[in-house]
Amino acid sequence: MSGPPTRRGASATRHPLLLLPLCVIFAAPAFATPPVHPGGGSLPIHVRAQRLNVTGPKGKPSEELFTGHVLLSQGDVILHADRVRMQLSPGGGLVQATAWGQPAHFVQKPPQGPITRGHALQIVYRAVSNTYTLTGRASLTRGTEHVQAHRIVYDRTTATVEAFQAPGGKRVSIVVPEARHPHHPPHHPPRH
Amino acid sequence: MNPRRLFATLLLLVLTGSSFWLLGEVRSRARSPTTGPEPPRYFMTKATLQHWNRNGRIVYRVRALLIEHLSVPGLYALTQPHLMDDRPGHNARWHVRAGHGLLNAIDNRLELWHHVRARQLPTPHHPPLWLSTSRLTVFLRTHRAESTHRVTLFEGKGHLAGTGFSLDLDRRLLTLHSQVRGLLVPVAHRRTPLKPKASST
Repeated sequence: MSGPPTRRGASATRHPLLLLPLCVIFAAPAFATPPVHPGGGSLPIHVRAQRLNVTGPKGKPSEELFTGHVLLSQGDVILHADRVRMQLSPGGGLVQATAWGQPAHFVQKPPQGPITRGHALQIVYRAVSNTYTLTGRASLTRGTEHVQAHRIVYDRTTATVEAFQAPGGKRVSIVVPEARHPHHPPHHPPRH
Repeated sequence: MNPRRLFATLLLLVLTGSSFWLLGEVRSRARSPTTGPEPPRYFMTKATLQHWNRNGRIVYRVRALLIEHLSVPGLYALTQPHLMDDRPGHNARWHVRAGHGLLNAIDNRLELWHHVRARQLPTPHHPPLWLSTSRLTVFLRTHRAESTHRVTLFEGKGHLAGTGFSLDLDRRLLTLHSQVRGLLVPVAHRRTPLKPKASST
């Protein structure tokens, strides 16, 4: 578990380049590390929920709606939500999973590298593009880096993050801690 | 005449008369049943019950190793029943098998128990789906099924289990009511290779 993000580094509220009115595309070095499971979308998904509704409209693929304390785990990712809707392809493959919650959140704990956490009112996972889209009070934390915006798109394949602010809403906030130089140890205040 | 003897003789006559009257009453009751003639009890082995709609098309068929018509009209006890859903105009059809069953042909209700297994036949838009439970009630007229027991669904290599189950074939809605647990195995998406363009020479 990593501690809360430090406020010593660059912040979107301080840096003029990050104060774009509508959209910020962010690719921090820590986020840009390759994912551990590039084919994570095809791994088995463990499901726990209180209720399941499966609808299969005529001529359309099925939809599975899990409700009530939904817990999904796939590979190194665990998702908690109030409601999850899974859209399936005609062959039974997962096309898209949409999670709602107050907020819904996911945690990715790779065996190597920092933990990634995401919170939002709505989280959409698209299997084909292997992306997470977090919408509504969205926040994404990886290690000590932190992104907060109205909408965040996290690409698991390229490990890039795009953050968007709501029209007329709060600006995108990004916290990147100060990089520690290996040859310069942290400054300790003199003892009195 | 001795009054004691006279009294005893009269008592004997009264008792004899009343016993004859009681015997006749019992016989007359036995001869005149109030519910009409009893339905026949009969057995059929390796038989099939078919149900047609008004248009003369088969709606469902129930095949069983042994079909016993019970003393209640329209009530059949089934051994190893096999229900075949033959609704006309529907692609998603179900076949249901069980160890035992009870068919009420009056209200078209089928109770199934002991290793109930159901299979939804695959369609172009839906892969095959299997269902397993210990008890299932099928409402044949309204095309619904429900169970209060633990039900497990199998689709591909995955499975989902829940307590309480309902299926509405007309609304195409399947529900597991509580305690849903399971494993979904998504099928990997195949990226179709780009077709080489034909070049003009």
